[in-house]
Amino acid sequence: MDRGFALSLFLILIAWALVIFGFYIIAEALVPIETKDKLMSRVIGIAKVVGAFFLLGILLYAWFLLTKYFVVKIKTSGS
Amino acid sequence: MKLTIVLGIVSTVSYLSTDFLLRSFIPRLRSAGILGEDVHKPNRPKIAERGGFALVLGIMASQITLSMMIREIRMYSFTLLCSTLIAAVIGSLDDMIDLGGRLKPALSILCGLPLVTSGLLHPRPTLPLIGRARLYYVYPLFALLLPGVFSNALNMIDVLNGMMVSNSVIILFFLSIISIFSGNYTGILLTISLLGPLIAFYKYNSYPTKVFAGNVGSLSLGSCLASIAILGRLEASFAIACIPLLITGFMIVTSVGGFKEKKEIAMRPVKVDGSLIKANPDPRAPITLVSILTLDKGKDEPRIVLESNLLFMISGVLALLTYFFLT
Repeated sequence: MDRGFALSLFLILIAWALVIFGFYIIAEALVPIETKDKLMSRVIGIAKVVGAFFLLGILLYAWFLLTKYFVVKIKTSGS
Repeated sequence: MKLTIVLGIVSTVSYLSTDFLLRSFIPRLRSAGILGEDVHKPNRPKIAERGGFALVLGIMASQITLSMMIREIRMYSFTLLCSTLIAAVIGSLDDMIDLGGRLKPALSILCGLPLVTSGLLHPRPTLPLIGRARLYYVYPLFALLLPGVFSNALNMIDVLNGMMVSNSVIILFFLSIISIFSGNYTGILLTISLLGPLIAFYKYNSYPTKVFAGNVGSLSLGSCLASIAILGRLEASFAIACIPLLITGFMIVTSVGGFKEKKEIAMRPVKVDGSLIKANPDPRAPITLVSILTLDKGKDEPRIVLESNLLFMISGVLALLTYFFLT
């Protein structure tokens, strides 16, 4: 197995964990908005959802940076 | 009528109609001068373009046959077709007048409208670790955006001979297995009915290709697959089975700084040396699935497509594992 294929495989496994975690935190954060009628619980719920998306965005960007790091490392070591 | 007989008839009819259409389309496209350069071949041959029209008609044949045989699926097939046809219109417009890197994704949002307005949405998707979630507010927005987003992501992997179609077949195969195990009748019908036109198209699109799908083919297929995920209630499995697409789409958008057309990207992600494709050695080059696969050494086109298929199979297995052990 070459390093390109191994890196793709590694990225898939990280993305798998991210997708499951993403579904989990967003669905958990949405529960107060979707189920309760009180204004305060909705406000808290919306804050949680924004926080969940923000966290997921950070994780996705970290995933991109990690990929870029490995890509550049393999490119520079190969040349 | 038995399900296997119905699916056998639908697959045969749609396979034969797509095959027949492609046989008649390819010489006509060539004589009309609708050709595109196969840039990954040493002599850059001219190949018939916009063969995706035949794929769209093949999908229509499959859904019309299915609707004629099973009444309960009619509304689902009709919604699926509407979403596919809207994407086909946007794709053919892009093929003819070039909509640009921003207008095309913006217009693609229209592909989700049939889903949202059909009354067929179930805003209680089954998610890993959670089970059945209640997403009454967010789900319609998700259904509106998914076909557009996914069709553009699929468009990004339509770069090598047979890659997009073979990857789509693998996604559908795993979704159909999950549908069978979960007893999801709609999922089984929608996923398996689409295999006929795709396999027929693959026959002509595989290496060395005789026809390109064009934007009309990639956008309509993407919209069709995303609609199947929503109508067949296979959202989580679909997201996991499509992880290599997520890698490509996310990496391209992030590394080039937004939605851009191929010609707007100054630096190519890969370089062609004879019959070998290798990642552009410049560290600033955009990152794509093909460039990651060819980081270490140059590979020929069929090898890269085979490796991408392997990655989709691994993602499909992960989707199966998630369904069995985490849902």
